[in-house]
Amino acid sequence: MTALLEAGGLAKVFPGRPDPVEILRDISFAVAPEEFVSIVGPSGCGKTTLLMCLAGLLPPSSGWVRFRGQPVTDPPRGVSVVFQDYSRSLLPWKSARENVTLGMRRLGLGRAAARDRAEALLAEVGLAGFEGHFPWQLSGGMQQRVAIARALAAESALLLLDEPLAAVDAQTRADLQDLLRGLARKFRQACLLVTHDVDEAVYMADRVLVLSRRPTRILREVPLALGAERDQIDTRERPDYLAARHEILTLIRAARPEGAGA
Amino acid sequence: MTALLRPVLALGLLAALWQAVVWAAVVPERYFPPIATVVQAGMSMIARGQMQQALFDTGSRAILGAIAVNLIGIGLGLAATGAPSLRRILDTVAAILQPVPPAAVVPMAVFALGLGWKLYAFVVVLVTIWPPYLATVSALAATNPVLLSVGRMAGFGPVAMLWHIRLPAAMPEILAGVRYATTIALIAVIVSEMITGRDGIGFLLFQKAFAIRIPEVFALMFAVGLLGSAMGLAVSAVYRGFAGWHLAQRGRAA
Amino acid sequence: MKRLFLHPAAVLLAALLAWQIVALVKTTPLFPGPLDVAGALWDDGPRLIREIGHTLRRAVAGFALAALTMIPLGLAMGRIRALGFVGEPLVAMLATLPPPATVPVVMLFAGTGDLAKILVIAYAAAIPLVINAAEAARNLHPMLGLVGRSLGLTRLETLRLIALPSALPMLAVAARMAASAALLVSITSEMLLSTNGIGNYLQREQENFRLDAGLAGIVLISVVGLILNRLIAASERRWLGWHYQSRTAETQA
Repeated sequence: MTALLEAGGLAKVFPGRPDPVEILRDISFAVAPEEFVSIVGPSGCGKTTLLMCLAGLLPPSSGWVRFRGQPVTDPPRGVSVVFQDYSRSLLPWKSARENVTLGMRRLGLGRAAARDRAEALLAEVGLAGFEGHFPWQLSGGMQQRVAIARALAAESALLLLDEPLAAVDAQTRADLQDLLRGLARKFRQACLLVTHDVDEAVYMADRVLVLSRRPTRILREVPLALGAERDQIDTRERPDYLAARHEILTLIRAARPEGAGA
Repeated sequence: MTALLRPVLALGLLAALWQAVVWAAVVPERYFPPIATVVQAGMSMIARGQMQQALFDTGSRAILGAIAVNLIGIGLGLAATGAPSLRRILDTVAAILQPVPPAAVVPMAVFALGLGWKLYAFVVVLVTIWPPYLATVSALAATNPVLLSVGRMAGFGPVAMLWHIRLPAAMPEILAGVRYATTIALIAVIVSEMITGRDGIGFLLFQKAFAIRIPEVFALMFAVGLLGSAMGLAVSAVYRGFAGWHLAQRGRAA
Repeated sequence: MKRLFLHPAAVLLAALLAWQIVALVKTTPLFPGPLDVAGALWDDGPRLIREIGHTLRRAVAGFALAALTMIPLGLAMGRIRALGFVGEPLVAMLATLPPPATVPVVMLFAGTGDLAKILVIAYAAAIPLVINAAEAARNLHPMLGLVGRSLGLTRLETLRLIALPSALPMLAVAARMAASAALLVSITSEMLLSTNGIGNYLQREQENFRLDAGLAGIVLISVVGLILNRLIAASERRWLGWHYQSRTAETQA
């Protein structure tokens, strides 16, 4: 199968004082259509920088990114991002419905069609009845659901998820994990999830990429075969789940900088 | 309900304090007349048409001036955002002209422009244009980078980005500049009237003060306060229209 | 080439040159050129310095009077609910009264000397100070008070170590507004109640049709205002660096 997203020799160096800061060094991988890939790494290893380069929001210092075989320089059609900071990524002057409509701008729908679709998507993420609410009238978990609906609205083949669940409580987190996986399968989307939570990375993915500390490389690729259906209790007790979790945690502990805290 | 209660309460308190000072007779009544006398003085100025005329002169100058100046200031801010070299020039001019008080340019402006509307237009524009300009420029440059990323993912070009993301995000700060400029516009008009000494509330205030007609001076000050409040309320209405979300958001966060 | 041409200094220089040329063509003292203004600045130098000294002295006195009374009052209005409930609408009502409009009344009570002017200046500076101090005290994050209590600080220590520093950024903004208002009103009051000061100088010279001297006075005011702004900005960086750095870090994150 041909790759949906490919990165080759990706590197990013920020000019800094007194020395330039090397964030990414030689990152190469591919994501197939409808595949769910997780990226984990020690904190501060440049996961967000990597995602911004893949989304075409940040030019890499060297290397290349291709989406559907086309080089990525600007944000390409067919790629959506769910940002880490949901409270800042929603427009506070627009309602939930209008925020979702924003994701459809590239589809060229009529006003009424866009509105209907936005409401359908909000219902899909469990926000029926909150269409007219403003982001600041919603709880953190609900705001992130709006952001997810907005990313889905673009009918993208690839969702880039930047720690989308880092700031919500544990119960909401479990709900949103299942929601995200369910929707990605329903809309036949590939997902690339960046997270610092190893459990989340393994639970969600078909494959996990483990990153080193800065300058960041890919330490290992861990394929998973946990099946299409996941369950918050059963999946997390499977021996292969636990084995993968153990392998990744060991790698990350070894990759932590000297003297870093627990 | 409390929104209405508090100003009424404050007004009542002010009146009570006032009347207490009068009754305690710490200041001779000639210099600090009872409220009833002030009201009477105001009524008689209204009966003579003096009050309405002065309010109309000052009000029309300040209101038209404020509208024009804010539109020009925001327009210049938008233009300067698009053209960095224009921005450098305007920032320099703003830094030079901002410390100059409206009063300082009035005598010369009278000389060059006479006593008509051109004088007021010149003074108001020269000293009042900078708050909306500076607010627009700084707010447009400080858009939250996450929102800019969201705009790029939605495929916005520079114009759509400005219209859909940067301008709405900048609105609260721009309107704070507008509010400030609107207050200064009224001050500039009143000061100009005081110096030129022909008409308007500024002129009348001085005329009555020199004639030691103290109840009328207080009545005029009250009228100026009302005019200032009315202009402030108008700005608030505009604020609610363009950046009401920000008020509601802050009210919730607080 | 184009870059040099559009440099602000180059544009200003070109504007001055154009102005000078028009002035040379007009050849009338009623349209002074930049050289005439520079000449007036030179001739009247010592007098200008003396006059602006009066202006600044009163501005500083009025500002200090306002700061010493209004910051404590504002903080109290922000912390004590009953006081804020009646105080804030009262202040909001007063804020709609432009400072120059109080001049005639102040003149009746305090004459036309230093005291009258300092009172008007203090009134002008008081409004931003009291409004912002109340706002800063009210918006104090409730968490900060709890932090103080968990560290076992007394009420006074909490006020000194936590409340005041966290209110400082907002007070600094208010102080900047109050300082520029103080300078503006100081000059304005001199034009209205003429005795001395740069405002009085401007009024006199322009009435005597010495427009070059009038412009020289305006140039001096502009320079003093610029220096004042720089000084305030520098002291803010010095004392409130932590606030601005944390804000920059936030927008970059």
